[in-house]
Amino acid sequence: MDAMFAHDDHQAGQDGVAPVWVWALLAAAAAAYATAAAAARRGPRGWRRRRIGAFLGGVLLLGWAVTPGTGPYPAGGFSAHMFQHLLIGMVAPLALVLSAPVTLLLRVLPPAGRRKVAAALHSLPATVLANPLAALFLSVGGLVAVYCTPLYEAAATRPWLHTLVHVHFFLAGYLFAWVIAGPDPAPRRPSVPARLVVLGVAVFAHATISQLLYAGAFTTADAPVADRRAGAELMYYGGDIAELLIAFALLATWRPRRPGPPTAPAVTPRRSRVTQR
Amino acid sequence: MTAEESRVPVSDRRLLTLPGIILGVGLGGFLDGILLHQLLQWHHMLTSTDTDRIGVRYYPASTVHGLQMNTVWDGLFHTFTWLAVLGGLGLLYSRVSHARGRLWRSRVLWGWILVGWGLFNLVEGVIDHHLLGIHHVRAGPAQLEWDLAFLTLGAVLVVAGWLLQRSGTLVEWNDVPADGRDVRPR
Repeated sequence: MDAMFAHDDHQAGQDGVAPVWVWALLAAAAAAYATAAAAARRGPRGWRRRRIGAFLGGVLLLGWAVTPGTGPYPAGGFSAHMFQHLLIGMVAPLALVLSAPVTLLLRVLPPAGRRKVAAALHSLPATVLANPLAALFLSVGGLVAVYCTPLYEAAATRPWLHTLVHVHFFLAGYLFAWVIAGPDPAPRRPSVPARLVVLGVAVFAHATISQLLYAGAFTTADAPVADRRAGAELMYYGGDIAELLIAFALLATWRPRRPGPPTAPAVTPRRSRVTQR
Repeated sequence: MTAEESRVPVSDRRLLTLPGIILGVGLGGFLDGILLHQLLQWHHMLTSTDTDRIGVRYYPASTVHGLQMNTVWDGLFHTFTWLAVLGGLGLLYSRVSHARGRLWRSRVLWGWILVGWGLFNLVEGVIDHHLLGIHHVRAGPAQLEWDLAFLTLGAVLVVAGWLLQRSGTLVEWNDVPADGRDVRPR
C-alpha cells in the first residue's frame, strides 16, 4: 500500500494539477447542473433524467481519468496516458454535450440572461469556433502537436504543460462533439451530410495517427515498443467506438431540414415521393 | 395536407430498408473488426493465406512484414466499414429528414440494421472463409465449426431483423408520456 501511495504522489506531480482540485471543480459543476435541472423539472417543459445522467456520467469519467492508478493500464506508461486522453478528449466530452448544458441554461435563466447567452452564441468568436472545420483543426491539430512534435516529451516533464494539453483535449473534444452532434444550439450549424463528411475526415486522421504511432513513424512519443503499440491500438479501436457514439448521437439529435408549418404532421417522408405515387 | 395523409403509409417503411441494411453492414463489420480482430485477436484479414484457395502470399501476423500487410488490409476493411456507417446515416437523413420523432428508436430501422449485420456475416463468411479461405473465424482444428457458426449467426440475425422490422412503425413519433410532458428531441 505504501508503495502505491508513493507512486500516486509521483503521478500527481507528473500530471500537473492535483486530482483533488479537479474533483472539487467537477463536484461544483455537477451541483450547478443538478440545481438547474431540478428547477427545469419543476417547469412546464421538464428536463429529461437521461440528460442529468449524461452530465453526471461525463463528470465521473473526467474524475476517473485524472485520478492516477485507477485505469486498466500500468500507471505512468504510454497506454495509460492514451486511456486518459481517450476519456478526457472523446468519451467524457460527448457525454457532457449530450446533457445539453446550454439548453438547460436557456431554460432556467430570466429573459435578460437568456438574451446574453443567445448574443454570446451568435458572437463572432462563437461563430468561428462552431465552424466544423475549426473544430476539426483544433482536435486533429492537437493530436498532431502532441504525438508528432516534441510537445509530448516536453509535457511529460512539465506538469503545467501536461495540464494544458489535457485542457486542450477536453475543450477541443467538447467543441467537436457539440458542433457535429450536440443537442445544444449552435450558430450556422451545417447540414447533416456536411457534418458526416467532417466526422469521416476526423475518423481518417485519427486512424492514420494511430497507425503511425503503432509503426513508430513520424511520431515522437518515446516509449517501449510494446507499450507504444498497446497505446496505439487503444487509440485506434477506442477512437472508433467513441466516433461511432458521436455518429449515433448525430442520428439521435438531428433536426429536420426545414421546420414545417405548425400544423404539419410529426412525420413527413420525403414529400416528392409521396406525391409521385 | 389532410389528417389522413399525415399518417404514414405502411409502404413508406421501405424508406428505411436500404439505409438500415447499409448501417447494419457497417456495424457488423465493426463488431468483427473490434471484437474478433482486436480484442480476441482470433484473426486478421489475411492470417490464413497459407491455406487459402486463390494463392495469396502467406502473411503471418507474427512477422513485421506480415503484420504490416495485415494492417494495410485491416485498414481497407476499416475504411469500408466507416463508409458504410457514415453513408448509411447520410442516406437515412436524405430519406427521412423531415422526421421529428425518435427515428433511432424505430423498430423498423433496428430490424433492418440487424438484417444488414446478418448479411455482412453471410457474405463475409461465404466469400472470405469458404470460397477464398483467406482467413477463418478461428483458425485451428475446429475452424470449420467456427465458420459455420458464424454463418448460422448471420442467418439468425437476418430472420430476427426481418421479424423485428415487421413489428414496428416508421418512427415512434407520438409516444407522449401520460403526464403530457414534451419529450420530443430538442
